[in-house]
Amino acid sequence: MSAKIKITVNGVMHEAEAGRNILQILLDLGIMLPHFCYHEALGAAGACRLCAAMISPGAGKPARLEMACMTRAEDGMIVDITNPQAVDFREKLIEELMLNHPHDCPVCDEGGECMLQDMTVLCRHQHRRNRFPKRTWRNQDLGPHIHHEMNRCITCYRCVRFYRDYALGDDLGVFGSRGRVYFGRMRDGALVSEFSGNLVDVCPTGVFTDKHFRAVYCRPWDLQTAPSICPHCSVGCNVLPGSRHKTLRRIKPRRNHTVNRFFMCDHGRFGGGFVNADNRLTSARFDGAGMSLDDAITQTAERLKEIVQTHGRGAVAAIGSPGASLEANAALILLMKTLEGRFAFFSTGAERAAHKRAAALIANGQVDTPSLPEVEQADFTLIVGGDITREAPMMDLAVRQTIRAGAPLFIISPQAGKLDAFAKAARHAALPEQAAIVSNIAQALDHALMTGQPDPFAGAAASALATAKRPQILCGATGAGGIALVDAAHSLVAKAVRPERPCRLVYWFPAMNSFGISLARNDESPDTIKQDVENGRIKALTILEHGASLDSEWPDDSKPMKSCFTIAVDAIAGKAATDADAVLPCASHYETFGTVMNYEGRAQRFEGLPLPRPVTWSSAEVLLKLIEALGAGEAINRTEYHDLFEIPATMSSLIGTLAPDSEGLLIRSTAAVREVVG
Amino acid sequence: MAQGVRTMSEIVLFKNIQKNGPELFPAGAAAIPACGYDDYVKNGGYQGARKALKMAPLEVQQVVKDSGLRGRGGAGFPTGMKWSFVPMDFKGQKYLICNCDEMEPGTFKDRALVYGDPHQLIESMIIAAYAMQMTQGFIFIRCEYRKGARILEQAAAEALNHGWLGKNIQSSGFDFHLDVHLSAGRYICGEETALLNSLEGKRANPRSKPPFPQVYGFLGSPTIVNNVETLCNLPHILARGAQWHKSLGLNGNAGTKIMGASGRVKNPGLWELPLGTPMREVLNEHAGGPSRGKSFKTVIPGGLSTPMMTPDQFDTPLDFDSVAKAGSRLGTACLIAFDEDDCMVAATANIMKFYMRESCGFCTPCREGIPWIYETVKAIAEGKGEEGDLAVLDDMARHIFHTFCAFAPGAQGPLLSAITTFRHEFEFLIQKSQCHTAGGAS
Ligand SMILES: Cc1cc2nc3c(=O)[nH]c(=O)nc-3n(C[C@H](O)[C@H](O)[C@H](O)COP(=O)(O)O)c2cc1C
Ligand code: SF4
Ligand code: SF4
Ligand code: FES
Repeated sequence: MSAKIKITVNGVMHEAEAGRNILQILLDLGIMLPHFCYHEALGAAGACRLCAAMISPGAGKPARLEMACMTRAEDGMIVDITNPQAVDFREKLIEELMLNHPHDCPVCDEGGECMLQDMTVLCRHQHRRNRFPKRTWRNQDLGPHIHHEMNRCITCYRCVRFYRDYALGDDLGVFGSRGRVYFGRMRDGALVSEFSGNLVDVCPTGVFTDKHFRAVYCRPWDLQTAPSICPHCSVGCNVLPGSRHKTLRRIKPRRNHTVNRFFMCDHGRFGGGFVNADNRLTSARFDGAGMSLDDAITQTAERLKEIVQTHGRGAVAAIGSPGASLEANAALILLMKTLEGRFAFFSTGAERAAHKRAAALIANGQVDTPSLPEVEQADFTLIVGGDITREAPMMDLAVRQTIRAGAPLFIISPQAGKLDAFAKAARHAALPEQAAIVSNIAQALDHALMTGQPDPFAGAAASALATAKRPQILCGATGAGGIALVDAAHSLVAKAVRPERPCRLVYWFPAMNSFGISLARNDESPDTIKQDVENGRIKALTILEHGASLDSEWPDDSKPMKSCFTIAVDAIAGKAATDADAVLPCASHYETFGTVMNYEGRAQRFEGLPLPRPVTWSSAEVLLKLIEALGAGEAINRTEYHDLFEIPATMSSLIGTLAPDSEGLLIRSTAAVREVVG
Repeated sequence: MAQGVRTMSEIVLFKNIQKNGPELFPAGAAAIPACGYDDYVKNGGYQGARKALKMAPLEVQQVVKDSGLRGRGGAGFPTGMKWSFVPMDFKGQKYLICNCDEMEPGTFKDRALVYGDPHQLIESMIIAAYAMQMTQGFIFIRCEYRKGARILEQAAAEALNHGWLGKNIQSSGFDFHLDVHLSAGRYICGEETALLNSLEGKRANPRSKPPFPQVYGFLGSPTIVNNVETLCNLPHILARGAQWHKSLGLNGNAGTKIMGASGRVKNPGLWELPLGTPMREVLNEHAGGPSRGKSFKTVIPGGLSTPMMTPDQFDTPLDFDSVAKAGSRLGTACLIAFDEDDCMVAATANIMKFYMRESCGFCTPCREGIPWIYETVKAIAEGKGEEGDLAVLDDMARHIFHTFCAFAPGAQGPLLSAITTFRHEFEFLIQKSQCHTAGGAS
């Protein structure tokens, strides 16, 4: 916490944090001083010159017109944003920015959420005096996601400051000079950055807009939105999907200062297609016959009862989903408890072991897991166990912030990745071999100061790790890397930790709620369930939301489970649902509410968009209906999260109270609840 | 003879140039042969550097401080003070950069120094580099001065051969490497922070200050950027002492200044004169008075980026403080003269066209405001002025002051003074659609 200073704004004294600029302070105080180029993540540039205010260094000292974003706040400063000279300056500034603007708001996608519109109105510019021709530009085809309309540009440089400076991309740039500054690519072509969609948000006007949204456009004020969590990886970015006429139109990042803050990756932003997909399951089916969901549930319950009566305990089983909420997986476990059945998660036993070990280390507080903003602060990073650019893109963006600060990066990955370009050294090895390389680093750490390491990569990584002040290791917890890699990373961290210097450790997982299901009590290895399905011991198998977990390897089509009665509770007609004997359609991720746990074990609550008819229930609700139809509805009310998952009882009750706009709840078994807000 | 004209012995900066050629610019600068190493040494060259290398670096800094030398790049910042901001205990590489971008309209003084006497500049840089223990130097030279770059490279090779550059110069233990960088050619590259970006291979946009280059400059290291003329004073200050330098100027000003004149003068040219020489003397005695037998209407004193001065101000001594007191700026002290028959509206349009073209495009008032000003002034000059145009010019002239760098305030200088002092010309044109000078246009 930095020191406090006092500054006077429009005649009122405020306390503020020292070392920040005046504009930051005003915005934090809720005082809207018009601005364009300043952005909380991108910082101040001083380019737009809109944030002008009269600023005096102190009482009795003359005030001058200054840019608030370029002025470091000092104790005693007096700021007046209402002074006529400042007001007039800002109005003229907008007049200048509008000289060449096409004034095409009626046909512009940004209209209704355009910062330029807002600032123009706020600065009360309304009369156009320019009688000379406007500048016009040729637009570029920037690929499938981003539409380009350069005439609207107000040259705030935010796009390149994000794309190049912040996200370290190099295929979007600024060209030309004077009144002819162009933002685009050298030539037409798809933007290659994983984070290109953020251009839509950082651009204060309609130069970069979302092509997918354009295709099914509606005014932003006509969107229905719900605070949600991105389902595509274990980072758990907070997002705001918007729908109209019960179809998903777009996804935007939602601010959360402990997770993704301002941005999100393209995979998440443009990966909402499953909601409106043609293969969306909309009607229930039982033994090949279409019917209402209620009837299908009734019939399914009857069939399950029969099977249990005929074959006894253990004849029914279920496979949960890392792509489904804690609530949905809990309902599945309850269903199995009702039927005295068995259940598993994950696609392999090795994956289960790796996940459970990693989750336990985090939940038990044995490792110090950084949040994304904390990942950005590290001064040494070792990435092992996968390609975070693809598997946890926003963590890649966080690592890029360490690179910008000059921190060394070491990578051990199965194949070349995009971050290699920024790494001090990158080593490519198959996942099962990576644990050995990590152990080499741990060994080299013992004599980090000795030269002539047998493994130069390990030696270099170890000596950089030895001298870092805030090192971190990011390790993929996967089936292929196995528990050996999880343990190797943990041992390395244990060795690197010194009393005065923590060494942080991230385990990232393949899916949104991998962490949550890793805490399940009494689950079996998927390998034994798989075996027993194949050898006919299991007579009924319930599969939860597998259509959405795209990377899942099992169950698959290659081994038709003929002898087994399969029930798919799913939103999407994926592999599992196509062959199922009973299909019970449910809401997709963005239409449902629930709780998921990200890689940190941060429980986050999300809400749902309106459901598309004829789907009426979430998967959790479908499963609970099924339990009711089995006559076991009572048990549901008595069950708590900690009955089913390794969650401390104190936290169990808090999960239900989480608000979607809170910082969530870090699941830790020993430590006190770290953060609960809202 | 007016008081300002001095004997040859005090013409130090141009000494070698004048020895080698009867006139500074006989038929274009290309005709002046550059002074070679042997001639330079014969005329006392490298004595200042030799002396400096025997002193402690901080002693050299002190001499420069005591000499009262102020920057000749336009702003007149005291050179010794600027140097003192360099952290001498900095462990890494520090850089010395000579600013020879000289794209200020009407200004060609650095060119004369580089084309005529390249060793003087190299010796200067050795002294400055030694004083601040900077082992790498660059001469950043305007791309139109391609030949000058070649002259400098050749001179640098000679200096290297004679042990004045490279490792352990003159067995002093001090290393100094010097490279010549030919600019891609933009006016903004002369602004020192844009220069640094350009030299780093980035877009030539200025940087925000602080941090100042002295602390965080080229590649983030302490860097001094000095003008060619500023630097060229150093050998003489070192050789003859701070007091001698102080005594050269008039009215308490230190040193000489290369002054120039162009435009409606009989003999356009450059003269090394005591700082504080009255403007009238430069205009009438050195530049030979008005060229067309008309009287002067106005003079822009410091290259282009300074407010216009009128005949009633011609007695102003040309030094930093006096010109500032008169409401303008000394700038480069290269005067641009206009006479009665010049249409100041057409001239203003021409001036604004330059700034419109050269804006780096980073900040709004400069990038958007100046083209609008230009279009408006041009329309008025063409007889297409409209009511309200002057209000636009009034608004925008005030507006372009609050920009990211000093470029647009430079454009404001001539603009604001033109629409104030010669407002009647603008009004006349708007009302009558023709120039009051009837046929005269610049
Ligand atoms: C738009 C602009 C152009 C400039 N061009 C030059 C130039 O061509 N040469 C120069 O020496 N200084 C130029 N300057 C001034 C430099 O920024 C800097 O102040 C100067 O090089 C410092 O040298 P001095 O301290 O020796 O005067 C320019 C400044 C601005 C704002
Ligand atoms: S394209 Fe958008 S973000 Fe980029 S400079 Fe123009 S207005 Fe700013
Ligand atoms: S005033 Fe602004 S646009 Fe003009 S040159 Fe300076 S930074 Fe560039
Ligand atoms: S927000 Fe301050 S100059 Fe743009």
